[in-house]
Amino acid sequence: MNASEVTSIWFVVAASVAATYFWRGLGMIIARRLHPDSALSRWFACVAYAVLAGFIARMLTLPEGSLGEVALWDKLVPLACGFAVFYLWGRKMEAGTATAFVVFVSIALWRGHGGT
Amino acid sequence: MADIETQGRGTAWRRGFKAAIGMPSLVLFASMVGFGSLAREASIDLLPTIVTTIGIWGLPGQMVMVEMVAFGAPLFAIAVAVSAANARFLPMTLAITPYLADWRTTWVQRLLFAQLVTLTPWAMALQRWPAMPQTDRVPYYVGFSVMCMVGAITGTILGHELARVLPRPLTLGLIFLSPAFFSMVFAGVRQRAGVLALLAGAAMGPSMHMISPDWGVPVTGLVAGSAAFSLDAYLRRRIAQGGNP
Repeated sequence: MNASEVTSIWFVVAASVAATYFWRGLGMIIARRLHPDSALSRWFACVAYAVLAGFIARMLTLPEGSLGEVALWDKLVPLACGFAVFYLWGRKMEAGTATAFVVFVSIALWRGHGGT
Repeated sequence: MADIETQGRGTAWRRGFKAAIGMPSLVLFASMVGFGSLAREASIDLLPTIVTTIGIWGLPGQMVMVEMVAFGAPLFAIAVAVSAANARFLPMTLAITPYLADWRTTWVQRLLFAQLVTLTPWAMALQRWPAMPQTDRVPYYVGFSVMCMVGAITGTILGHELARVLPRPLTLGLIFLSPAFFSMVFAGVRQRAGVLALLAGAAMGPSMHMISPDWGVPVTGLVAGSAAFSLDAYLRRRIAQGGNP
C-alpha cells in the first residue's frame, strides 16, 4: 500500500463505520416512535437481506472479486454439500458451513495438485 | 443502595462475559477469520481491518466494504452499500429498546450502548433480557459483547495473518467461509418477506454488478428489497381481507 492508499482506507473505514452506526443511533433515538414490526422496519430488513443476497450471489457466481479465480462449480458443489448437511442435520448452520468449507478446500487442493 | 447496585452490576457483567465463552464467541471468531482473510486479499493492512471489525461490528457491512475496496469503488458508493447491508440494525435496535425503558442513564451512554447492537448478543438479549432485572440487562449485555469482541478480534488477526502464510487453496477456503456461512443463514430464514428479499436480491445481484460494479450492490438492495417488501405487503393485505394468498 502506498501513502495515499493508506490515507484513503481510513476514510473508507470511517465512512463505513459512520454509515453503519447511523442505523443504531437512529434506532436508539426514535425508539418510542417506531415499532420494530412496523412497515418501515420491515422495509429496512428487506433491503438489508437483498443487499447481502445480491452480494453473496455475485461473489459465488461471477468470475471476479476475491473468489473470482475459483471455477463456478468449485464454489456451487461445496455449497450444495453444505445445504444437504444443513437440512439433514436439523438445520445446524455450523455443520453446513463446516461441510461447505471442507469440500471447498478439498476441491481446491485437488485442483492445485492436478495442475493446470 | 448504591453499593448493592454496583456489586450487582459487577456480577452481571461477569456472568454475561462467561455466557459468551464457548459457542457465541466461537461463531464470531470463525466468521471473522474469513473476514480477516478477505481483507488481506483486498490488501488492507491489519490495523484498519481490526478497526473495521470493532467499528462496523456487523459482518455483512464489513464484507461489502472490503470487497468494494478491492474493486476500487468510490467512497460514497461504499458508504451507501455498507449502510444498506447493515440497515437491519435499525429494526434490531428498536426491538430491544423496550427492555431499556427503565434504564436510568444519560443519552451518551445510550448512544454508546447502541454501538454494541449486532446479531449474536442481540439474539441473546431477546432471549434472556425479559427474565432479567433491569439493572442486570446492560452490564450483562456489555460483558457478553466484550467476550464476543475478543473472539472477533482474535479471528480477524488470525485470518489476516493466515491469508499471508497459508497455501492458496486454504486461503481461498477461508475467504469462502463468509459467503458459505451466510448461505446457511439464508437457508434458515422462514419469514415470507425475508425469503422474497433473498430470492430477489440473489437474482438481481450478479447482473446489476455487471452493469455497474460501483452501484450494483446498493441498487440491488433498494430495488429488490423494495419489490420484496411490496409483494409481502400486498400478500398481507390479501390474507387480511380473507382472500387466498
